[in-house]
Amino acid sequence: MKQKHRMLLITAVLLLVTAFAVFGAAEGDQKADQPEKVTFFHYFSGTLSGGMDDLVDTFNENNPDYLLTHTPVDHEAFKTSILVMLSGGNPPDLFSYWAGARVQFIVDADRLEPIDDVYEEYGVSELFSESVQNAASYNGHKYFLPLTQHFVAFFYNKEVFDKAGIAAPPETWGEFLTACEKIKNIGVAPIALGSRERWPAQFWFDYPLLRTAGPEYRAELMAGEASYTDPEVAEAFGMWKELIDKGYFYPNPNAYDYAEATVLVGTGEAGMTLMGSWLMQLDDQIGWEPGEDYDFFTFPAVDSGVADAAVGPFDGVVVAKDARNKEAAKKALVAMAQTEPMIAFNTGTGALAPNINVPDSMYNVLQMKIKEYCAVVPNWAFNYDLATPPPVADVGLDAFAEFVDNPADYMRILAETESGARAAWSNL
Amino acid sequence: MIQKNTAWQFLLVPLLVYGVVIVYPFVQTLYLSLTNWDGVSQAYDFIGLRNYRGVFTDPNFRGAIYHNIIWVMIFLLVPTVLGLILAVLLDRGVPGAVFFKSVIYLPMIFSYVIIGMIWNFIYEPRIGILNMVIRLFGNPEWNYAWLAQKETALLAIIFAASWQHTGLCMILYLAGLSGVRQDLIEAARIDGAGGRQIFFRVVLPQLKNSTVVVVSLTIINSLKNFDLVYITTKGGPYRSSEVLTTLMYRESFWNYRMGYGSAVASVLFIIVFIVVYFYFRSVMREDHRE
Amino acid sequence: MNSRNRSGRTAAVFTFALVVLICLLFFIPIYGAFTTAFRLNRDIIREGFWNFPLPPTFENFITVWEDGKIRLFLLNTVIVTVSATVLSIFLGSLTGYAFGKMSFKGSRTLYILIVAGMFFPPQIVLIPLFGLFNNLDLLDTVRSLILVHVGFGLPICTLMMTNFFKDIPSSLRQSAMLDGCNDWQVLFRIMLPLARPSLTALLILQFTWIWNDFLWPLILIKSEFRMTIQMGILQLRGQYGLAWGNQAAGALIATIPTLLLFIFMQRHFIHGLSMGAVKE
Repeated sequence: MKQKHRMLLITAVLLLVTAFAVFGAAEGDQKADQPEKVTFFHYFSGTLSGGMDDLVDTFNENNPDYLLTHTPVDHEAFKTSILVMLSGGNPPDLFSYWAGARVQFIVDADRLEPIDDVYEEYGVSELFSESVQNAASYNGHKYFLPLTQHFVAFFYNKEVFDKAGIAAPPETWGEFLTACEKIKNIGVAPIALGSRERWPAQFWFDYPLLRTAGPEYRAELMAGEASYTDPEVAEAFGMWKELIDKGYFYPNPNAYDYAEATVLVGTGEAGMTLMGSWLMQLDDQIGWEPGEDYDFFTFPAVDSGVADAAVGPFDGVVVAKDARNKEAAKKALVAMAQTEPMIAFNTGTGALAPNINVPDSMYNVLQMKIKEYCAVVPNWAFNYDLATPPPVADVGLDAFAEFVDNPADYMRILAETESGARAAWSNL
Repeated sequence: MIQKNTAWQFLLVPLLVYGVVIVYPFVQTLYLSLTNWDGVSQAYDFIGLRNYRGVFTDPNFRGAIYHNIIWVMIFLLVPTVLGLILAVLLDRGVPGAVFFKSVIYLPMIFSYVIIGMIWNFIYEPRIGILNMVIRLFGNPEWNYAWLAQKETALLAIIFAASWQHTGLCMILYLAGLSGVRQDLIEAARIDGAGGRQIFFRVVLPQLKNSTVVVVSLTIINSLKNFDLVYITTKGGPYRSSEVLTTLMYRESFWNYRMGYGSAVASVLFIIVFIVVYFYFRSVMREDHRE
Repeated sequence: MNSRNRSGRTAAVFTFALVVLICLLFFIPIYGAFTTAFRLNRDIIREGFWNFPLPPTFENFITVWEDGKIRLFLLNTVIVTVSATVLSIFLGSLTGYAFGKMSFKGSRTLYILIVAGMFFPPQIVLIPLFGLFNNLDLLDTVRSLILVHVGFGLPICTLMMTNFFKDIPSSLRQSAMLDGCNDWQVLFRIMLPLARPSLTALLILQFTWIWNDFLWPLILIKSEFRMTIQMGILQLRGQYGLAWGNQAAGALIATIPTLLLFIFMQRHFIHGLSMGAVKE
């Protein structure tokens, strides 16, 4: 009796699965005589979409044998779906991804196709600088084609700085503290942070650590070879804590997102924010002019013995190992790497185009300054959530959010972070 | 025999859909919970009950369970009792009862996405309604961030959810009240019982069925909620509003731990199963008595 | 007698005042959404969410509507909601008829198995369903959404239709069968026309739930042009992160269909909810 039920249930399931499989196959057949389809799944949606439509259209015009179709999705939706698409053996041919630990993760899971030939045979390697190419290499092979480069720095309201009597942007930690004090004295919160989505707080860990312990130590920490209970980490948190204790932060960072925090700087309720160059996308909404109303300065030096380093993410495109049409996918990558698409794609986003041939005319004053700085800075670091594997970053991002509320507890928070990170590493 | 065949004719397609959408994926979840699948690799190992052992030693899981328990308890207190009180008051023929009922029902038509958004208008620290009121009557400097402080984030979400859930409780109690026997109330009144006595001794016992339904639905709804938490805090700040559903989502889709996420889902199922079991048992018992 | 009367009146006034107070508190969030939708963003940032919109502006609605996307989101949602609602009620009528009017072995077990699905947290099957649809190439299609909503709607439809059919005297079916009708004809010609109240109640319930669902489109739909309205609202929030007025206007637009159902069919709505849940 019971067995009968089970049998029926199983038959039912099988029947429906078959029905759907047949349905799906029939649909696939219909497309047989059309140009070969190349799918591109990416998170350059909304304000980030840049010139993706143009890029795709141009590729299709120049390559009539292929039909490149792209699906822009929201960041969050992208993160949830790409994993299962990859594992299900039915991935898009091309998809966007973040350089660093995230690409490393799927390279290690054997989900990506190496694209050394794109760089070597099609001359793409001539289009990118050495350091950018390093960001594209994993386990000795190229896997990643960078599309945008962003840079994290202090963006400040010039009027507020003038009112507070700060003649030049601070270059050392001491000058920075003085500047904060001056801004506080005119009744404005020196620093705005909007960490509701957690990640904006990470730069407050990245930079102090890079400026005190240096890029090499940080790389060890990100790789799980150093501990969050080390004195180096405690010192970085100590710097951050000092600023919070002195009341330099606008209240309730965890209540706002990065855009709201940027607006606080825009309206002059706060003096500055430590954020990526993508905040320039808010220019129209806030109604301020780069260079006129706001400017940026790099995170001040703390220890002159430590080499300078810049923080920022690279966004780009990778090819799935199970891509149905690798040849076409790689051709599309070559097309994307060229100057024209790079210009179209990066204009108005605040980003730098990784292609070295793009003209300076596409940049505003601030971007020009950023470009000049990036050309000379000796070290480039990915921000925390891209530098360490996602499960570990999850632990750390929570720790930053908690620290913002309870800076006095930072030793306990660090101890808990270490044990959480250890657990996450052991599960990898 | 002939009857049976006809019955299957009617049941075949619905069962197919049910099997594909619920039964088959459910079995797969149970299976995945015994593996270490990361969601990306094609290969994964069968690791027995290791995920479950991990679940029960995970402080984040314990936190999520604890938050779910708080949610259930507040949900059993606030919207349920409020729904009962409103049902009793409005059942008595307060002038404008129809209008007042509509006001209480109204939140039920909003999605959680919209509820999350409009409660943000209340909780926002700088210009939110709640802080504006507090500034008006008390501390003019008040700028508490209700959804961003670990002490209040969960409570603020539960309160918003209660706002929506009260209407359902009231409907269910109103339906129960319509079945209350007026002759018993009259008899008690003639015996000299006061309003309170009548309510607790005569009316409430007759609402037992409604109460069983309200309590079960309330428990299940508080365990099921994902949308509202996801939209308001995503379980933050630093997991202070994490519940089982958001934990499952986080571990599976953010942290590349599908096996572990499936184990969390399975535990959620077991808890829900226990509640549903008791619900059906008590409902069935009523059935047999009739 | 007199004093009792007076205390009775005091109690009535007190009750009324209490009800008014609770309802006022209940209305505040909706008030907040309304005033926000009809005010300019710069006024909101200056004065907060509290102030009444004088004079009201429709600018937010115009901005959101002319953006165009919201119309597409609405269309997608209508397609999903209408088809899933109709299909789930149709299938629920079949199961309801089988469970309510036919006796067969295992009927009770099967019935409980299906109805218990009403309580099943959808998150439990999230991962495998995602994988299944991915393998079947159904990911990012409206069909996958419809299928899921039909599956998850089946329990409540089965429950309510079974209850309804149980209450219809079996003699009706027997006499129809003596007249030569088979079960399908009995169901479609005789029973379903009688079931209008239950069908209406289910229609409203299912419509509201599917319309308001966020989890499944979040997981199954990827492309912007296939998004449902609830995802769209969340996207508006990202797009107009600083524009509270636009968010609120979008939210109100998204609520119009359920609001209309509620206003014009409140009786059925209440009837459906109470019938579905209280009566086993």
